[in-house]
Amino acid sequence: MPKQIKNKNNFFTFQDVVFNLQKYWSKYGCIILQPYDLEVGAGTFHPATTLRSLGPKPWKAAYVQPSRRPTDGRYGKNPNRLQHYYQFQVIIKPSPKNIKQIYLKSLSTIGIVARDHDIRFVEDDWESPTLGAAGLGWEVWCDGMEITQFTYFQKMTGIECKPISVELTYGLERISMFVQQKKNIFDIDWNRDGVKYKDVYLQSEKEFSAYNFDHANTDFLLKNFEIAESECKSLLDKKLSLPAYDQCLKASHIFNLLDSRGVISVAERTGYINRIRELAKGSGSVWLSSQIEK
Amino acid sequence: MSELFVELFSEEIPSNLQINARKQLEDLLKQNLSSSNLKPKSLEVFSTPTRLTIYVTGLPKIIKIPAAEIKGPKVGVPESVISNYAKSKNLNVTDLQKKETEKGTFYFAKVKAKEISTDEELEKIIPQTLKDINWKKSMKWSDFEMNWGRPLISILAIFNEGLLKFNFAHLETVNFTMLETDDQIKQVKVKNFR
Repeated sequence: MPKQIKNKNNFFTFQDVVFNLQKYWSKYGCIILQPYDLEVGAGTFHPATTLRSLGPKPWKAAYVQPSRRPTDGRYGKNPNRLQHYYQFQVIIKPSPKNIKQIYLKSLSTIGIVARDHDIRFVEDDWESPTLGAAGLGWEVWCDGMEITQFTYFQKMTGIECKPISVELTYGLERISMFVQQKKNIFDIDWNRDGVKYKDVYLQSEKEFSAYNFDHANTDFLLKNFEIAESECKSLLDKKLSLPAYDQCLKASHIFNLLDSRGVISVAERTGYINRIRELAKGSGSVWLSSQIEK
Repeated sequence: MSELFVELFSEEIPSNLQINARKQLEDLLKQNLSSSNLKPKSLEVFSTPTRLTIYVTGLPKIIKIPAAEIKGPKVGVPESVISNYAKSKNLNVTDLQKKETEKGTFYFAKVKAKEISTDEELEKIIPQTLKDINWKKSMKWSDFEMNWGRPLISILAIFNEGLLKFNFAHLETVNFTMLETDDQIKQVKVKNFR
């Protein structure tokens, strides 16, 4: 059993970090959602952020989102990189005046007390070409390591945001490594009964890296991309924003897989990104109309 | 000695934006004070990631505007132009005088000498100066219409130890500074720059 576990007050397991953030943001007034049930590259892609950041209605939500980035896989051999990892996402619209202090307080619930650390807000203007999104904000560094992205959305799916949402994205593995003083992701203590991150995800990292880089059938993927794109457009014609957006997410993940299989040239890459952005724009636009009509 | 102290407290502004805003603020304020016949003894602008600060000394309490004859539109222009000009000088059209110059005959307005309180003038000059800053990259936040480098939280404005009252977008000036301690912000009342 690791040394830190003996001091219950100063030790936070991976699941403690999740529970404590959920509890904190629930007390603040956020609804606690569950992860979206499709493969996404980041918590921002969850419709609770992408679509809900559009339109005039206030919104406060928090959730864990498994994020898949096929090209980041390393067959479980790299201590800092995974093709599947977790983000804890908070989205609040409109952004509250004292959000920075609210955020800093949240860190103290997961073992990072601001007065004991060098917390810095480092400029990081964010853009997502596939979502047609942009925001201004910071990377939050704790003792030199990035632990959160803090972004004020200015544009989403090509549409100006009004009012403006703030998005907080905590990197759960990084934070857990930091509070547990671990140098390897796979050594993170998942719970207090000795279960480690590697016990849950090492095999998955090995197998999915093999799938992402070596075995994914690119002919099927190319066909599936076309199918998802076509289905999305058809659903947009029927003004069904949420099912259409699901198809956009599928197209986006298929694109990421094709990218990791190395079958997309530099020139083709831009074309694919533009096609996904058009699907996201269409979904955002239909969603926004539905919100204003109500 | 008179003292003007303005502090704009915001969330962390990136260094390149901060430097640009600081330089512009200094230049614009110098220009705007000069246009209002205000000649400070010193004018300095400082910045930190969360603060843009203006410190000006040696401003008079009263601005004396000497009597003057101010050249207006050329005789023969549409009547609306003439009446607008007279109105801008708080005069009637009949108060304007026609005078010949080398370039033709023009209307002139005789403006009497007057005194304006510096407070009142600063309450106009400073928000205008802030508005004139041209951010290289700016953003909106919450449900406000304002654009700034990063969310602007508070404006402290003091002239000769008294609150200088003005509004800038949704913000109203205050006489306290904001101190960040760990995860809290405290308000501390301020009388002067020291």
